[in-house]
Amino acid sequence: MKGSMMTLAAAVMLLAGPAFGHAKLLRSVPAADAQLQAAPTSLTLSFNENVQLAVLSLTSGGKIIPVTVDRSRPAAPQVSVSLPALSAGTYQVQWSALSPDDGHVAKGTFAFVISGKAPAVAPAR
Amino acid sequence: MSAGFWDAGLIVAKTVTYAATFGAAGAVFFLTVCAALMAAAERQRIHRLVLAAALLSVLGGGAQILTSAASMSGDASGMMDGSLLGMVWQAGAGRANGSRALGLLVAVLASRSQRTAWLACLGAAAAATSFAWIGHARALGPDALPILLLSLHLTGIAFWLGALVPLSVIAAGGDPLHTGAAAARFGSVAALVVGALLAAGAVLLWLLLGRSLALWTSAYGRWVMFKLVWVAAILCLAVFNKWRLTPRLLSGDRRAVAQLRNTIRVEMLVGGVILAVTATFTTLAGPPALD
Repeated sequence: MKGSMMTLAAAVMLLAGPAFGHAKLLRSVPAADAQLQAAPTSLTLSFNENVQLAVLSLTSGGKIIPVTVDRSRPAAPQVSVSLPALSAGTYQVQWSALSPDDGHVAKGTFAFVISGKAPAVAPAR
Repeated sequence: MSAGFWDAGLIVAKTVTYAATFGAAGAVFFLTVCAALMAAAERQRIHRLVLAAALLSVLGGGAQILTSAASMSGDASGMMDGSLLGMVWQAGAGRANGSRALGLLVAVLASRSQRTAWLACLGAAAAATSFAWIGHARALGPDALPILLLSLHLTGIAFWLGALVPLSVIAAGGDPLHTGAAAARFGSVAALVVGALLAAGAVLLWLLLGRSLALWTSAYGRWVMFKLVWVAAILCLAVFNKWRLTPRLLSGDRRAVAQLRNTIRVEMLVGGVILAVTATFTTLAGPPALD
């Protein structure tokens, strides 16, 4: 029984590519693992198809930075959210989106670093 | 991002919905094909089965919507988030669940009388094909061909897998001639239906792989290969039932009834694995044609 479970687990690992392969995140601004001198005022995600952004959470050192996501916006291949004034630090971005074409969920995480001490630009309103 | 707890929940909900919907729809098809060969008590048991499977299908569909929202939010709070649930509903889940529930309601009510068997079959087909309202085939573009192929494939799956429980209900009586007559009648129609479902599945797969049959080059293709291994296994069992067991049943061999019950149990298990694998890769992997 243990052997067959391990075989099944090995088969799943072999078969599984990158998870959630429907809508794909092509790029982001700031990019994943970017080292920024100045704090960004917005965050943009570009996908290979139209999506509706469902959730975007931004955390730094375990602290949640409030970000507003407009779920009523029509689906588009590129979505942007305004960011509050960010100080130096490492930021984790966790996002999830829904593809209106097939109803599937896409999601992912990435991080970027702000090395400057103070926000360079005022947040967009 | 790797799959988490709520994604596993979504896959389980999808698998249950597939099994319950195909179970209800297939039992209605079976009743239509074999009703004349069945005793009133058997028909009654199968009606109860249709009703129970239909209720489970509706609950499974609801669980899919809730777990999709939880998967997006990353925790259970998504299940209470009206705006997230609304997004999921509007992105196809509403159409799929609505047409499924309506189809099952018609199937449950109309299957009680032989005079409305055609209407019951229509409802069962609407329920089985409701999965085509959402998913990769629909995303292939404005062309209706992928949706038609998927609908044919889904109806065939319901006809085949959904007949397993009704067949085991008949086999439970232990009468080889009675069981053999039902198995022979079902088998004669199933040969055509299974041929159509395999042909439709092959063409749909070719479209989803980007007009190619290169299975090993993508995660999606490798999952399909894994599924095909199980499909080959269930096909072997079906061939064994049709060509070896059914003639023995028709000759009055009582041991063949017990053997049929055993192979049906294995077929149900393999069928469950096929549905679970399908639910997994349609959730976790995208077809190359949509890259």
